Amino acid sequence: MNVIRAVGRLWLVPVTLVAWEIATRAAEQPFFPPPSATLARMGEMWLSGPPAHLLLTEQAMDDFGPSLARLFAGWTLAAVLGVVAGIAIGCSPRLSGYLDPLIHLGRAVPPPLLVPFFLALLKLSTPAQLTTIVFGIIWPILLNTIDGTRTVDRQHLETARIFGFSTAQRLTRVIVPAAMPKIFAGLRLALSLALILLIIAEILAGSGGLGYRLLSAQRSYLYPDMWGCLVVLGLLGYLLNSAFLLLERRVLAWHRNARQTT
Amino acid sequence: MLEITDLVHSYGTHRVLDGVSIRAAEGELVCVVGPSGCGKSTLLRSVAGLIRPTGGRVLIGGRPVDRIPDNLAVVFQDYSRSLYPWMTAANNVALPLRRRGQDRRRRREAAMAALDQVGLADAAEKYPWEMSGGMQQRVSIARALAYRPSLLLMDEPFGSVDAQTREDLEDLVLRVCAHHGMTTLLITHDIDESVYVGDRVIVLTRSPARVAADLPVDLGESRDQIATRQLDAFVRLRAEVGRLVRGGSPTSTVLEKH
Repeated sequence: MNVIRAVGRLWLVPVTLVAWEIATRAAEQPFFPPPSATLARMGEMWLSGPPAHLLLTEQAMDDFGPSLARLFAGWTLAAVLGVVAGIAIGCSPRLSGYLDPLIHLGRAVPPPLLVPFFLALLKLSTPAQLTTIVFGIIWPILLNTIDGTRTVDRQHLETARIFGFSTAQRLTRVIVPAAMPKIFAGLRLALSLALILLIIAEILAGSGGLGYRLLSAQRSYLYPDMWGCLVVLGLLGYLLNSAFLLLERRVLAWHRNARQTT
Repeated sequence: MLEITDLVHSYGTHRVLDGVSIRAAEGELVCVVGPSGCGKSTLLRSVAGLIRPTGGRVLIGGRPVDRIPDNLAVVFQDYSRSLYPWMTAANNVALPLRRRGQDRRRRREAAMAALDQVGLADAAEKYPWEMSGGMQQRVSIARALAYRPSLLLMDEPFGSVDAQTREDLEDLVLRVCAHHGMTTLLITHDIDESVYVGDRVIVLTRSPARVAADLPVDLGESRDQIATRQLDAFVRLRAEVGRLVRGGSPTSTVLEKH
């Protein structure tokens, strides 16, 4: 039943593809290659390698490897920094009084504008790219963690006080689990932002990776290559989000179920 | 065991407690009953050390309460906000026992024994949201039992469950409190319940709260939901408490000086 329903919702995808195919063939515009041509080019670029490498070509390794590494490194770094700082700020009204204005100022600066600055500061492109990603995506993690930490149910905290929980117990058994739903919402938002900032950073400070490939394809008028990059980025975003949702469902099973029953 | 003397508390200029004095002997189950909003919860929170009262004194076992005492457990009305939904019943019960310096296996055994006492041995691995309200409140009671407090505070513990469950829980509390010889202060707005459960009933006046009457309940040790409620003594006492809660003055037939 679920399979039928899932398939039922997916019918719009092939219909759009077919319509796109017909429209682009009729228009014969070089800027808009038909999806079939884009797909063929993608296969040629990335999936015509030896079976021992799962068909991945050298170019696929060069394009995806560094990009994925940057994406995950940046996201993990932002997650650790954001969650740790968020819990500290959320638990301490004094700290948050000092830092709140700075946080809102920092959040308001568009991160792509800082790429030239980070490049000048850090010289090498990879640290500058990572810094751009971390600076761009840490805000939703930080703000959600602060909010989640501050809004722990009063009675949950009073119960911890009555039973004399140690500071470590209160943090790991009460505050962090209670804040987890909001932290996860922040992490998921940050993941999709990370993909955007990765491409921006690679375009502005690039030496390899998908963003760099995208830019060089566009500059060389290789439109099927460019479209291939766009399609792959869309797919990547979709897959990352789905994978994260799966993880979230496992970790926050109590939250989903508790909300359904009360 | 518990001595509350001239307790006064105000929120700003609004006085909630106006010189409340209550005493409870070792092993006694004292019910505090009063009209809604009369300051019953403030009283309980002062005894628990959650708030610092404006004036007066609370002694538990002879020691003044200046911060949260380590020999006290609380069962709150709102079990869904008191149990941790991210932990199983057994873990909820076992978590406070770390303070008692027990290792993991001992904590687990104590939690299972307490769950068994409240009739939930089979539900140890369930999460709170997999249980009915009555079951969750049983877990909350089990958590208090496993902690082995010398004083148990209960804040409207049966206020959020249906009538049948309420009767079951009343009998459960009577049984376990007698079994452990625990001194218990139970706060309720339910007149019937205060008489059925209590060894003594303290009636508070409308806000600002004072003690209107301190009534001994002479219904014997063992009580029965049907038979006890039919006794003349029960009916008379319930009527008396009802009159007092509504602001009447004590009648001499029931009130005894002590």
